[in-house]
Amino acid sequence: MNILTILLLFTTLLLTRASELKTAVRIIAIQSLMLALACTAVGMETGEVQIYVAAILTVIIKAGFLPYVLMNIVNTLQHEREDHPILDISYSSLLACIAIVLSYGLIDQALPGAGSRDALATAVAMTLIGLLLIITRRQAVMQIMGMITMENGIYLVGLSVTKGFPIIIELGVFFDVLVAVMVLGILTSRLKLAGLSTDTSILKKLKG
Amino acid sequence: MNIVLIAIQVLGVILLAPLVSGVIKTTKARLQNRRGPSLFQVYFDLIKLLQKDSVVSPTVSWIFKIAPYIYFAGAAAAAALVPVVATNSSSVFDFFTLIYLLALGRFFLVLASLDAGSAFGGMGGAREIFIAILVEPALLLSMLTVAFKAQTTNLGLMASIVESSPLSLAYVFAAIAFFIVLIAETGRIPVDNPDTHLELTMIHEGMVLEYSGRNLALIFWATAVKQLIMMLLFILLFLPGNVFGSTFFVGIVLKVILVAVVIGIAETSTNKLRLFKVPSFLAVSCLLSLLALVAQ
Amino acid sequence: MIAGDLYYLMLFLFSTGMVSVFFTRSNANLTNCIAHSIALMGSIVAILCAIAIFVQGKVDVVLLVMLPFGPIGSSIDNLSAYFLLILGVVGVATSIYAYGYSREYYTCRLPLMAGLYNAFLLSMVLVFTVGHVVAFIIAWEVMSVVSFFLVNHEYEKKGNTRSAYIYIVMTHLGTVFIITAFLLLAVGAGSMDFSQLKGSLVSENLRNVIFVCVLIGFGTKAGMVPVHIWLPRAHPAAPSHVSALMSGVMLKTAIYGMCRFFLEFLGAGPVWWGTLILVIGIITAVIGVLYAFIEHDIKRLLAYSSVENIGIILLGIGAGMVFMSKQQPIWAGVAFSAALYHVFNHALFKSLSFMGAGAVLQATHTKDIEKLGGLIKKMPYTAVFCLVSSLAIAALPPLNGFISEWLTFQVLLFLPHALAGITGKVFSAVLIALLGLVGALAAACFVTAFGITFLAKPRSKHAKEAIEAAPTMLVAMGMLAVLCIVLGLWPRGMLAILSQTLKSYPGIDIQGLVMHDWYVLSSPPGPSDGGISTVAIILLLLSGCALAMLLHSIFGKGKVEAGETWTCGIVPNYHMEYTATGFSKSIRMVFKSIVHSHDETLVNASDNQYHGRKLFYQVRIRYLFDSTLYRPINNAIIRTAHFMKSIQTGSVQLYVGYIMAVTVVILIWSTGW
Repeated sequence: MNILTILLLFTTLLLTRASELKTAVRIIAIQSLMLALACTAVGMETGEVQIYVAAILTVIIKAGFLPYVLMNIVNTLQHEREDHPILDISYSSLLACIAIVLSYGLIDQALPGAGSRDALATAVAMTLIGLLLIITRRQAVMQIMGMITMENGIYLVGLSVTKGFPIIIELGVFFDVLVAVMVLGILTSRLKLAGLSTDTSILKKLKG
Repeated sequence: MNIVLIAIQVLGVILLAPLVSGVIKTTKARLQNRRGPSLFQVYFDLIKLLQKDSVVSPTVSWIFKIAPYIYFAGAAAAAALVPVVATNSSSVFDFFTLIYLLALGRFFLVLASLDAGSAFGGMGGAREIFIAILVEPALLLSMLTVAFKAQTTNLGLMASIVESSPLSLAYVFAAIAFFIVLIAETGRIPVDNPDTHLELTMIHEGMVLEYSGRNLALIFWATAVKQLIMMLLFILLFLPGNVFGSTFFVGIVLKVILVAVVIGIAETSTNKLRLFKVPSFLAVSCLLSLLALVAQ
Repeated sequence: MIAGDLYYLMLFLFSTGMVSVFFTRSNANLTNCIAHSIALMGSIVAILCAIAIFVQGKVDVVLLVMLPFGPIGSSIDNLSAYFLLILGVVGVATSIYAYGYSREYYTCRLPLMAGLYNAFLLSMVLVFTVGHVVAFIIAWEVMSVVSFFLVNHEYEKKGNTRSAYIYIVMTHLGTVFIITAFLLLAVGAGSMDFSQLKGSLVSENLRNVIFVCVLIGFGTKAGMVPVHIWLPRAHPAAPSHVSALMSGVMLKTAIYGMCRFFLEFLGAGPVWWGTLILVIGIITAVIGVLYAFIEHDIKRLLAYSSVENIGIILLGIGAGMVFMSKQQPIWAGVAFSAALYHVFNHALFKSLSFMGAGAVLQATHTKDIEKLGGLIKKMPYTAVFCLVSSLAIAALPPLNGFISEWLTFQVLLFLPHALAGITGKVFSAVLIALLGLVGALAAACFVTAFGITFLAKPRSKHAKEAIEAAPTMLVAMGMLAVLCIVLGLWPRGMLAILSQTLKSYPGIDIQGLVMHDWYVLSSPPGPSDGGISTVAIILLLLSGCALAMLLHSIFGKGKVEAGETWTCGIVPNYHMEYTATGFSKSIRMVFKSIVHSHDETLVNASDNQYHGRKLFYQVRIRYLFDSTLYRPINNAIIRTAHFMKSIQTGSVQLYVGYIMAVTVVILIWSTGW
């Protein structure tokens, strides 16, 4: 379990260094796979069926379906790179490290001597890094990556603290992410038709 | 409250008012090295006017026709309120009632001046209203010295309080302030020129330009009555009997003549102020009254 | 209990009137008749209810509306009854007037207006009578909203919506203060019922805060300077019978609130309360009348005149409070009587004026008096009634305005009893002088308004083609005019009502006023013995008239010839008449520092330099409070908003960044790191 946690953290850090969209999608797929493995580990620990079901769902949807859809979208896009992010790649990695340190500190402060210290800290770190991605990237697809990362982080909290969410919540969460990605897909195809870019910084022109 | 006495007072004031105007005119004439008209000239003028026919413009309405009556009625009613003969503290003799009755007459006269539709009337009315607006606070302030002392606005009580108190600087100031107001209210130089009939230099005369014949006589008479009323107020409030001689009828007549002569002298010795200098003139009166209040 | 039944009947009638317009909305005539008849009946019942309460005493009614905290109980006492009486009288007149006046609105959403009119009356009844804090505030809000819709009724006309908007903003600002005051008091008393608020235990500082809140809150509704700016905009925008109701009764709801607070809830306070109200009152009066004089839009002129009269009422209230705080119950009684008497008088003559203005507006379709003239020949009865109202507003005997003004003067004269020393005397003297100035300006203002509107030759085509107002309008105006005259001749009746109203309040002793003959009004006995006798005034005036007529015909009747007005030989036309702007020019010049008027003379020279020039004279007025108080506040708010706008850059990333920053901060803070 701990190894998986560390691997998750590693993939998240990698994500911040990705500037090509295809790479980012692949990393997200790996991250979700790690998560599914962690879920399976927890399932083996507790032996409940629904956690296995959740793990399988994660594999299918988050590690299979989502990256597939995202890859399709990326293929239809014109710009396949994050050309000039708001913050430089190196700086965002640095910030990610600071986020990890911060989350470890917070967890130590809030819950000293907790058993699943690593998992909790990783979860908080993943949430913060997800937010960071949304803030520092211009491309809409990259922002979706950030959102999925946040999602994964929260899922990890659920895994480590309560040993899995009830199945209804799992389904709800999956549905949520699914819809977000669907919307992105529709939006990008529309934008492709209109010949515009998915650069979100042009939304600034809508200001009143 | 003796109705007969009041009736005698009103009639007396009305009958004697033109004589006072005559005194003022004669004083001015003598000071200007002229012989001047006879003392009773105003009576002759009034009698002449009362016999003449009137010319009335078709533009006017019924307000033009009733205004002289109301003006005269206001002046006559005010004449009844001056406590000369019946100096008791009946609640009828109130200062504000007097002022507002005179204002009632003025209201209708200004309306009548607008009624004929001429620019002269409007201008005269506008100026008259302007001066009335400025005179009102000055008048109230100058009277307040005595009113505060007497704790009432009942003229009879105010007069008796003045009688029974010694002469003081406060009264002198208030007297001067009231004198200024007297000049403004009766339309004498330096505020208005009652003798000319040039439309642009007169205020009161300009207002009544459209009147002729009997109506004009009523208005002249009422103006003279108003003048006498103001002078009587001045005498009763600021030239009390214990200082300036007896309070009774002869004393009052003498004092009226004295005040008339003083007005005449004042008129001859100065010139008419520009209209927009009148506010500062009246401001002097206000300041003197305030000084009198403080000094009391 | 008769009064209670009448009260329910009144509420029922007004509600029916409100609802009836739904059923009659297809037929304008029917809507007009039914809605206004029901309003008329309701107003009559209001008068009867008020009289019943005066006769019977306080009555407790329970309104059957269930709110979360129980049914609303209200005990209608004499003060409410007094204001209910005012509402009833003015309501009767305006309802009759509305029959004829609404004909103009047959194509302009008449059902809505008639329904809202009933709702307006209903809300004002509720404001006057409920006895529970929350119910009062609800009724107050309903009144404000309904009157907003009425003011905005003719929204096609330019500027009406803006006026209504300013009105609703200002009235809500005031409501905030009122709610604050009420809640502070209720917290101290532990209950929301009016009868419990009297014994509220609040600290001295809190009482001062409540006082200021009450003053600002109710002052906004009353039209006190400096929060009066909505009045001259809103009253002209509303239909005339609604303006009459607003000016006559709605402003008095604020005075009712103030009286409730000062007489009942707060009681006597420190002297500076009263002196503050006095100062505000006189400033209000002076500013109101100055702006009224220089206006030439009839309804704006009347609105500013309302501001002036509210100032005079505030003078009475302020003096009353000063006397109360110095334990002079007799003079406190006289002062509050003066204020409340003026309330009634103002309701009467201001409604009458607005109705007259409405008649003129309906006949000539213009509000600008510079375009009117000569209406006395086309609308003789309206002219008579307008003359009566002008005389009443100018406080000339023998009408009712004179009596309340006289009482106010007397009260101010006796102010040095309470405010000792030189400062007291000088303060009182300045107040009296300024009140005299106000009176003279008011007279001048209405001489102008009446003279230029009704007299001389018509100045435009509209004025030439005016016709007399509808009979119902004349009947309504006549009623109010007769009441003005009656109240001027019979002060005793009014004083009896006032003594009933004020008798139950501590710190006020009103016995002295009522102990005289029916025509005498005198100051309390003591070293002073001033008074007026209305019979004497009337007799003197009549005998003076008789004397004048005698003198007139002493030498025979005399011939009266017709001769055109002298205008230097030219045939006179309306161009030569005096204008309202010219009338007020001298005052504009003297009071330049308050009334910043920019007179512009525009010369339109024609080709020939000796002949054919046209001169245009234009006056633009910079309104003192608008430019020095409200515009800077507006600009500051807009500048702050611009500044705050920079937070919203339109960038999604920045918004998420805000969220992240807050999240991190909360995380750190909550863990106590």
